[in-house]
This record gives sequence, structure tokens and C-alpha cells, in this order.
Amino acid sequence: MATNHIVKQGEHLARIAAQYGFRDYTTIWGHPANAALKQKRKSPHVLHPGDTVIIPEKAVKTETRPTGAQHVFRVKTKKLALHIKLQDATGKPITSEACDVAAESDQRKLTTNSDGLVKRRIPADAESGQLQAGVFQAPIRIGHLDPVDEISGQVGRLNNLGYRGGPLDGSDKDRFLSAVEEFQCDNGLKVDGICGPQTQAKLKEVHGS
Amino acid sequence: MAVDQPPSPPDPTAGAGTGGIAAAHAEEDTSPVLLSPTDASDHNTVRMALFPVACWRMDDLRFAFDSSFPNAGAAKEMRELKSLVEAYPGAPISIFGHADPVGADDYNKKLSGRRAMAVFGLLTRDVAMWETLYQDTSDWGPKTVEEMLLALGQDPGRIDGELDDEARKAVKEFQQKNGLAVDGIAGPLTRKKLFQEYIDLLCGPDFRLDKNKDFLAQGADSGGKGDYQGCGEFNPVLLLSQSEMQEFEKPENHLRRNAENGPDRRVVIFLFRPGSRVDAQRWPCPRAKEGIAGCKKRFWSDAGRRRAVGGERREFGKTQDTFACRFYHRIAGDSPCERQRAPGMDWLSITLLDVEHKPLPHTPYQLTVGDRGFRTYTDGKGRLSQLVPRDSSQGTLRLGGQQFDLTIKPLPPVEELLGVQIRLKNLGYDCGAADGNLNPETTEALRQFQDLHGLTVDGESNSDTQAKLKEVYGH
Repeated sequence: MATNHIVKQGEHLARIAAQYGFRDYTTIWGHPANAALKQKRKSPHVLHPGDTVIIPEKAVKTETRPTGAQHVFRVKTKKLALHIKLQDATGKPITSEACDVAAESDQRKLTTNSDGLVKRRIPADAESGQLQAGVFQAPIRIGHLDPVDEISGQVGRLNNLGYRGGPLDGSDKDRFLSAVEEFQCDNGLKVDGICGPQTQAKLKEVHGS
Repeated sequence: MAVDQPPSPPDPTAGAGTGGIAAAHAEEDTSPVLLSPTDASDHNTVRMALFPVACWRMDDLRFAFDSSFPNAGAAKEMRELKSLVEAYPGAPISIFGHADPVGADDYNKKLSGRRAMAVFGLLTRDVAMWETLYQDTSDWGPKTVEEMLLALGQDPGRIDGELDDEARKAVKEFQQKNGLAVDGIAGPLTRKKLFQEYIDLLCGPDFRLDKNKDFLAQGADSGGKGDYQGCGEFNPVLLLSQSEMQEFEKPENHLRRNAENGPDRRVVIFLFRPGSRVDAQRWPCPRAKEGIAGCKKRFWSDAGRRRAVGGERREFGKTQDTFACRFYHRIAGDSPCERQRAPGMDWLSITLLDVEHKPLPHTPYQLTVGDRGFRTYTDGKGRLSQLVPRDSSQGTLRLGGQQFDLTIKPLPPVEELLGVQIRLKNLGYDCGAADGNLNPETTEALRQFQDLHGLTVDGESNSDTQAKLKEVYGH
């Protein structure tokens, strides 16, 4: 029997899938019951608190092997990654920079490439971590970035991009307005302070997710 | 009184007045970075946002009016900046000059840019940059040579921008002292040495910033992008009300307007989180020498409202809505250096009379209020007028060999006996204790005053006498 899962803050599909014993979250994402959610949120990694994910019944896979022999079963688990592009305050990539990206207690020493990019694998249940590059240091929360069509998702991205948009609910009107207008100005959009569909699309593009 | 001896130069760096502020910012934001897990094609971008950790402000008091030349009083703010920089090792800095909203946008942009350049040149000991500012004679010019000579102990006489015999003598003394060719002309070599010595005086021997290391854009742009810039009049901390502006439009009120606007004319430095980096070419502010087009791109969409003069005067510290530039607002909005504005300024006007009550026109005087020293001549009517900090309470006036200690506070009205006594006393009469109580000396002083001005001599403070006293005294 299918189960309805209500998404909580910080949850993404891979983590939800793991909770229900699914090794591959794409099984859930691709299920026809979640077509509307998929359409709405586009990415399984960026869900919004309150979203409903329908967890289908797990299919029982039958493998037939003869007895009296040893068999190796390789279970395919969909791997999850964390990609971060580091930039200076004005958006220039910080290249060849040594940095530490910790997901829970698993710390990796990495070096940014010519785009300022670092990549690492993360377990589906990793939520808290730490990012450190030179003297820059910040705690990270994996899975906490909300969809770009929600105000919290817009502020989250603007904050990551250094625009300091204030609290996630946009309640600091001046900060939010300044962040949206500065972003629009930097990206050749019409500067009106309204984070509409065009600005949202650009925000997603510039942020990278 | 006889005026025959030239006054000796004041110690321009002495005193307890204040021409700025140095302060720490509130703790930086440590809220977590929110990320999404990613597929191969996605990523999260994390920019190292600009967070100011401390700020410094130098007020208008440290510049000549309408000029970018820092006066010798700036030594005090330089000492404060030195302590601040030492307290935040590795925190890169950027300099922002500001003007008041009077005059054309473009003119104010350039004036504020020159003030930022002057401070940058001071901190990096870039005498070539100072020479560039000097060449702009509308702003610096010969008067600055005289000011520097005075501060360095070579008395140039009257500070008026005219290199007369006395000034040339001072130049020669300076040249002699510094092993330069002695010709009495402040040419490029002499100026270079003057700049070096004067900067040494202001910054002290061991405070020097490295333009390629200590500034935000690390000197990557020869025009100083990211390192120093002028905001023009776009980010005032004080906007006068409509009625005040109308009143100040009248030419006779311009001096008062310039005093009221004083807090807007400032130079602010931010120290950013250590390790902060910017790309000079992507830095949003135009160069100090460039026009206002780049600034306007950064205006809030409702900048018109923010810049508009309203029914009430507005202060950034209270309303946070007087900056037109949202980029500057983002950096400076929470800064104590912008929220605590400078004390206002007032004009101190004094008419100097001799013992026979005749004005002393074109008379050299030396006025010290707080740590601000003035040294020039009275006007044709024997009057001196100087801008002093509003909270000033004491000063000294030297005139020839005489020194007067000044108590600066509102004068009681002439209808009160104390108001009568203070006025008479300032006019040279003996009023005894002058404490608001009637005494024989005051009665005698009133009789003398009445006699001199053809009034009924009765020693009474009557309305005729009060009116005459007000007229003679000036207010």
C-alpha cells in the first residue's frame, strides 16, 4: 500500500527514500503518482516543507539462483553528491583553493578547479556540515535550500550569492528588496525589486540549483 | 588693544575635540549556508559575502570647507584608525567619501572622490597622488602649502593662498631645513618633501598601509576600484526638511546651511572580514574620478523617495532610508559609523573692538576651539566667523599678545540682568561678579554705557538701554 509522506524542512528525496528502504530515489521520483510533484518542483533535491511525496509499495524483485553455490548480488544505490562553486564577494570564481567540506563527521580535503568548483559524495542522510576555505568558514545545511518559487528559496539563494537578503521569510523588507535589486542589476534584468518568474529563473541559473 | 606681535601658531593636534568615530560592527552573521544535494549538472554557488567588521569615520571638521585637503587635526583620527587596523589584522579596507546634497551631483561625486583619494594617499603615503590633488587648484593649491608649513613649524603668516614675502620666507626655511635648493618657491620637489613631512605628522612615523595588500581590491585597479571611491551626495546621513531647505536657499543663510549639512560631509572606512576578496573589475562603484552613471545603476528602485526632501528632517540613524545607493546601504546600513552621526556644527561669530570700541578690521587672530585651530584675519568689519562643533564649550582667542578664554554657550536674553552683564563685560566694562545679581560695578557700567551712547544716564537696565546694548553687541 502506498504511503503519503509530508516533507519536513531539510528533507530531500534521497533522504526520504532511504528512510523507506529505497536505495534509488529515482524509483519514487519516476513513479506516476508523483508526476504532479515532479512537475512542480523540477528537482528531487529541492522540495518544500509541506509537499506530499507518495511512497509506492516496494516492488519485490525475484532472483533465481541454484543452491550449493556462492552468489554475489550487487545492489545498485543511487549516489548523491554535493557540488559547491566558490566565488569571491563580486562573483569571481575562487580557483585552486584548498578547502574542507564536511558532511556530518565525514570531512574531505578538496581543491577547487578552474571554475571554483568542488565535488564530493555525500550519504543520503547527511544534513549538517561545515565548509571552510582559507579564513572563510561557515556551517552548512544540506537539503535545506527551498524551491526558487518560494520566498525562502529566493532568500536562501540570494544569501548564498552574498546579497545578504535577511531572514528567510523575507520579513526584512529593505534587505530582501536590496538583494533582489542588486541581483537583477548584476544580471542585466529589469531592476524592479520584484522576484518574479524571470528573476527566479535567473536566480536558479546563477546559483546552479 | 594694540596688535603688533604676530600670534604664535597653535598646536593643531592638541585638544580633546572629536572629528570622527572608530567602532566595531556587531558580530558577523553566522547563519548556515543552505545547500541542495546535487546531480552531475547542478551545483550550489557560495560567495564569500562582504561583512564589515569595523568602521572609522572622519568628519568634515578635518577638511577645509569645499576642499579635500585634510587639516592637521586629522592626526587624531589617524591614530584611531591605526589602533583599529591593528585590532583587526588581515581585515582589508575600503574608503568611501561623501558630500552634502548642496550643489550638482557630478561636482559632489568628484569632491567626495577627492576626499577618499586624499585619505588613501595619506594612508599609503602616496605623495604622487597628493601632487595630483594639488594640481587641481580649485581644491588644494597654494593655501595647502601654507597650511602644511604652519603645521610643520614654519610660520607662513596669513593663510590665504597668496605666497607673499612671509610665506616665501617660510618656504625658504623649510627648504633649508630639508636640504632642498633654497629659492622660496614651493615647486614640485619642495611640495614632495612638504607632503612627506605633513603625512608623517598626520600618520605618525610607523603607520603606513600597503596599497597592494591592505585594501579590498589590493590595488588591482590603478583608479582604485574597490579600494577608495566617492559616493557624492547620494548617501547623506541627514536630509533637511523642505521648510529648512527653503529657508537655506536664501544667500544670507548659506553659511548656516553649510553648518547644518556638516554631518553629511564625511569619509568612512570599512574593515571587512579577514580574507574578503573582490574582483576590482566587477566592483560596482565607479572610480573616484569617474562620473555618477555607475552610482545611478545602484540606486534603489525607490531612490526618488529616499532622496526626496520631506516635511520633516530625516536622519539615517533613525529612519534608515536616506541612502540612494543600495549597494552602499548593504555594506553600511548597520554600521555605527553611519548610524551615529557627527555632532552638528555652528558658526561662532565674534566682532573684535579696540578699547575705544572701534572694530579691528583685517587683524590677525588665532582661535582654538576643542582641537580645531583657526588662524587668519578678521574681515573689513572686524568680524571673525568660524565653523565649530556644536557641542563646543570652551575655546581660546589670541589677539596680539593677549589671550581670551572663551566660554561657548547660548547667551541669556538682554532682558535678563545676566544677559546685560555678559554683554557689557564682553564689551570691556567691569560688571563685578557678573552673576545675574545687581552690584555697584554693573550700575556704574550701565551709566558709562548710557553716557557713551547718548542715553539717559541712570544706571538702570531699562528697555532703551537694553535695545542699544543688543544693537551694539550684535544680538
